[in-house]
Amino acid sequence: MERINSRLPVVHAGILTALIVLLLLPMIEVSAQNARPFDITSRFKLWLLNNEARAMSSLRSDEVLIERVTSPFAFMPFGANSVPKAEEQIWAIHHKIYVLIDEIQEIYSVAKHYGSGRFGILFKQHRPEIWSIMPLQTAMPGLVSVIAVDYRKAFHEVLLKSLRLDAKRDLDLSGRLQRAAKKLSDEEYRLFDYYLSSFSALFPSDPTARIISAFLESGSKKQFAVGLKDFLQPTFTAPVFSDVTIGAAPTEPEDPLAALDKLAEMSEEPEKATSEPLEPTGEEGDQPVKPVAPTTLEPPPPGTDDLFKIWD
Amino acid sequence: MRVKCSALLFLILGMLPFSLGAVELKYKFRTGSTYEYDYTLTESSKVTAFTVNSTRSPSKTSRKFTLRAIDFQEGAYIIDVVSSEGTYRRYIRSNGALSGAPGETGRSVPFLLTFPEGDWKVSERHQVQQVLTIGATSVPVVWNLLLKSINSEKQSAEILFTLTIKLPEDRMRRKEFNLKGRAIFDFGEGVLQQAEWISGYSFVLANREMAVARDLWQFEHQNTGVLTLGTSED
Repeated sequence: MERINSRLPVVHAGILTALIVLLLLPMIEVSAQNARPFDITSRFKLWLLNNEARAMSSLRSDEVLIERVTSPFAFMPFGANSVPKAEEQIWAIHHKIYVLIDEIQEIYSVAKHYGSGRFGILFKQHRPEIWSIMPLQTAMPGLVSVIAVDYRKAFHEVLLKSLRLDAKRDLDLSGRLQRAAKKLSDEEYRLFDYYLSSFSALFPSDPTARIISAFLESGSKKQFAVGLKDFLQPTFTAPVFSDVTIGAAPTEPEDPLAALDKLAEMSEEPEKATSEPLEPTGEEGDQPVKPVAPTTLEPPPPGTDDLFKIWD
Repeated sequence: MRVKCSALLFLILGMLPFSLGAVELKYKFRTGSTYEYDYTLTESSKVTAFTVNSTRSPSKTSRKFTLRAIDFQEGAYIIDVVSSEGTYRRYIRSNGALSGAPGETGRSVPFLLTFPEGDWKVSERHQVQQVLTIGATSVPVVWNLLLKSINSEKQSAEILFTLTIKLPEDRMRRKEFNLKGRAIFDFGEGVLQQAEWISGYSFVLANREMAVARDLWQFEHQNTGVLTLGTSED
């Protein structure tokens, strides 16, 4: 019985997460069809990939042509016994650059999605562990305080997994960015930097490379997305049902994405010049409304039913 | 007396081409004989990307191959080329052209170096042209040969050769290819004694947008081939 009880939170949390994922799936599919949200690297990566493809194609077609003139005598074996060429090393460096670019994109997306702390607050506010143990409230109220924390822990664990987050890895995004950049040697990093500057010189209206540079520069030096800390490592306490009110929900940390906001401001000018904006804002009208991070989550207006105040 | 005069006349006539500096170069593989060649290929390459240089130091691969002269039919020698990769049959004309390679069906026949028909004078140039087609691209290629010298004592001729090819280019791609070499042909035995050639390939990929141009990568490949006749047995 104890064994079954210990597994219950995991099963329930799994079911709950699956439901949430199922609900979110249509939205994810639609966004994947259009473009990745918070995409800052695709255009640069595609540019480099396309140039690589051009070079590989030319090298191969020239090689085929040259093979046909480098066996000048009819009595010798045709076809060169080709050894690996120097370009293999360049492709290997490029592979490391692609890994770094993907890591930058991943870090940037995580910071933009969850770094404000709003997402974590949303989940805290909705208290999924309470939903799971609700049936026990009347049948076995004594069990509630015992298993609620485990429910919440299990739910949190599954939630992080489904969001592809790792509490250890993502707690310090600045450190993660530094570790990713350090995988390139000084020379390889210089080459990456040269590609970024070449991209900016060739496409001055495209801010992609400048954003990557600025993100690497500022993101490696100071902490950003500090709102992630509460989401990744929340404090698990047993619920007191009488206290469950929206007003008691945790508050959002102050100015958690200052570094990224600054970065967005930097790229504001060139972004205007591009026909394809880097991040679709979804805002319309002449006066764009600057999003203001809420300092607290507002309780529902008096007189309206609070959906979550169900135990009073 | 008359016989002596005739013999002297034939001798003088026979010596004439050498004394005038002309010789006919023809392959004359002896049926039933084997010829063993050493073929060494040295390859090196370099890529420059901004200040990053990636270099492959020269890599040498050597292989031996044997020619088995089987017959001479319809103006071509029937030769088996035996190497570690297998045995390939070739029908080789006396000027060096290939008239068939039944064991290599489907493979593109290389653009081969062939000798001129008849006498070839020292310092005289000989040109062989062909259009190579790769996919939708057709490229004119020219072998330029020059008979540098004749050693009548050793019965050998020294030939210099170069290749002219214009690789396809556009506003993003600049390319160069050159090949030059030297061959020693034993016209007494009718076989190639030795040949060596160097080829160099350079390819620059640039990006151009409006007034901005950036060279991204420069690829350089250099190959050296050396072909030497080791032994020949009847």
